[in-house]
Amino acid sequence: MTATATSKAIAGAVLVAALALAGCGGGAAGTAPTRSVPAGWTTLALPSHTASLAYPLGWRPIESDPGTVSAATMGRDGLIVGYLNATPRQANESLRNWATFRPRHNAQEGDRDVRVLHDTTGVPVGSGRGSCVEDTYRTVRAHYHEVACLVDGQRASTVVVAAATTTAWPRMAGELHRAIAAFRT
Amino acid sequence: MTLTTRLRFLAVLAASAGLAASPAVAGAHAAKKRHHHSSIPQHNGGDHDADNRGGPSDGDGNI
Repeated sequence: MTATATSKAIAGAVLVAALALAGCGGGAAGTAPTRSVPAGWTTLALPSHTASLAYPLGWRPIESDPGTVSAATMGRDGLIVGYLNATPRQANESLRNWATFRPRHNAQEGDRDVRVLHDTTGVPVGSGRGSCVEDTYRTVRAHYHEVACLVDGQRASTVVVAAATTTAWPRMAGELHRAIAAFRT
Repeated sequence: MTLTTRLRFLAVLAASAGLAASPAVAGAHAAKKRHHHSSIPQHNGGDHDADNRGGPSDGDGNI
């Protein structure tokens, strides 16, 4: 195994552990996973009522595409520092192809320097089973770090995105993972 | 070439020039906005979502 492959494997394990600690991966045998919405958080439902997204205290809903919901915390000059979004599955993305679909899609939409840190496929995520990609990219305004998951649930197949600027990521990662853990679809 | 024919030719030429010029003027940033195939409008179909203004990418799957 190369050094890169090793580091990706370690990073993937870290992602799974983070999701598990946040409640996505389920608890140890006999314990209930902590997938409930944290106290003080607010929940946004998709207009289709096929998914709900919880966001932390101090964040606020922001305008997003029709049929989707987003919440964010803003910095100076209106820069989005922390970001959550839920969007119904729209195209041919699937649990199987998500690890390549998401970063390719980001690049096609104009994000630069898209770099996949690691990915997981077919693991418990929120209320369903999903595939997740953790990656970084640059927009015209900032450098972002995201975890984006496609989640197949009882009601629908929905994408949940949790992102923060790379500067804010270290202090926001816990909240963002908890938002994914509390995601329902 | 009659005057009418010449005017038609010039009109077609002007229209063609306009169409050809627009992608070059639009540039790479606008190219990001042109991919729409979904029932959920993306990239500013009159909306103001974050990824149109340098914010994080949303979860849309269409290109």
